Amino acid sequence: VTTDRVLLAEPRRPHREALVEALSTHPSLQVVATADAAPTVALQAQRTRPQVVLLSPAFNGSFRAVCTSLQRLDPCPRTLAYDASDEPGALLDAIEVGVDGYLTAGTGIDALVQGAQAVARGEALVPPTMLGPLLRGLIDRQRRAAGAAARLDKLTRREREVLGHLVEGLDQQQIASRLHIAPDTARTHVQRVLRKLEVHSRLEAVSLVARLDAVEQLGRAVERNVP
Amino acid sequence: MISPTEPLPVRRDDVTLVDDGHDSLLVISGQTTSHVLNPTARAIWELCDGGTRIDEMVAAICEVFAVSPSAAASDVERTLATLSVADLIVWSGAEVAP
Repeated sequence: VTTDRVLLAEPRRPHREALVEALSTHPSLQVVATADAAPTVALQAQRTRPQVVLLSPAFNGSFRAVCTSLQRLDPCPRTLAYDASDEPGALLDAIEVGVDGYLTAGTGIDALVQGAQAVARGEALVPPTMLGPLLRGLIDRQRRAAGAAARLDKLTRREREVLGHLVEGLDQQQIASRLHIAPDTARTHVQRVLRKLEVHSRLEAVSLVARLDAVEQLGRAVERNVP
Repeated sequence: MISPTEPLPVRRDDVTLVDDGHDSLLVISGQTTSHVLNPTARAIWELCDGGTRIDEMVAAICEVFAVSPSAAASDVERTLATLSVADLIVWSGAEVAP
C-alpha cells in the first residue's frame, strides 16, 4: 500500500485538528504538515514536499493567492479543495486557479481520502453533477475571451501603443508626451480604444488586457515604435 | 462563430435526465428503456444545446482533465456517436424522428 503525503491547509483550528486526527487513521495518507494561514501554505509545501495539498474554503479571499503561490513551486504539488461550495461559479474559479480536485461540503472522510489518492495519481476530480455546468462555464469564458481578443485585433498600431501606455498607468498628458502628440490627440486615441474594446473606462480596458494576458503583445507594439 | 453549415448536437426535447444520486439516466418519453451515462457523457449531453461546437467541448474538457486534445476529441466524438445512435441527441438541421 502506497502512502500519499499531504499538507493540510486549514485556517480553522477545530477543523484542522479534527481532520488531522481523522486522517491519521488512514494508512494510505500521511499528513506531513499543516498550514493555518495563507502565507504559510507555500512555505510549508516547499519545506515538506507533499504530493497533495488539501485546501480549505476558509481561506476565502486568499484562496487564489494560495493556489498561485503553490503553482510557483517546483515540484508543484497537486491540490484538492475540500468542503467547497456547490455553486458552479465557485468550481469554475477553483479550476481557473489550477485546483486539481474539488469536493463539496458534506463529503465524508473516506471520500476525502479517496479523492486525495485520486488527485495524487494525477486524476482530476470534479463532482459528477457539476461537470456539465463547469464545462459550460469554461466554454462561455472561452467565447468571451475570443470576443475580447477579436476586439483587440481591431486596434490600429497607434491605438495599441496608447493602450499599452494605459496599462503602464500613464495618464492622458503622459501618453501625449511619450508619443510626442497633442493631449487632445491622445484623448481621441483613448476614446477610440475604449469604443473599439467596448468598455466604459480605462480601468476596464486595462482589466481586459490583463484577462487576455495580452500585455506582452502590446509591449512589443510599443517597442517597435521606439526610435 | 458558428458556421451555418456545421451540424451541431442537440438534446432531444422528449428526453429526460433522471439522477438517482448514484447514476445519471436518460429516458426517452414513451419508452421503457433508459440509458446510463457516466459523468463525462452526462456533461457532454448537457452541452448539446444546438449552439455549442465540438471543438469548444474538447477545449473545455482539456482544461479540466489532463488529456491531450486528440484524446479528448476522440472521447467526445465517440460519446456523441453513442448518444446519436441511442437517439438521445439529434444534429441541428436534421429531422427528429416522429
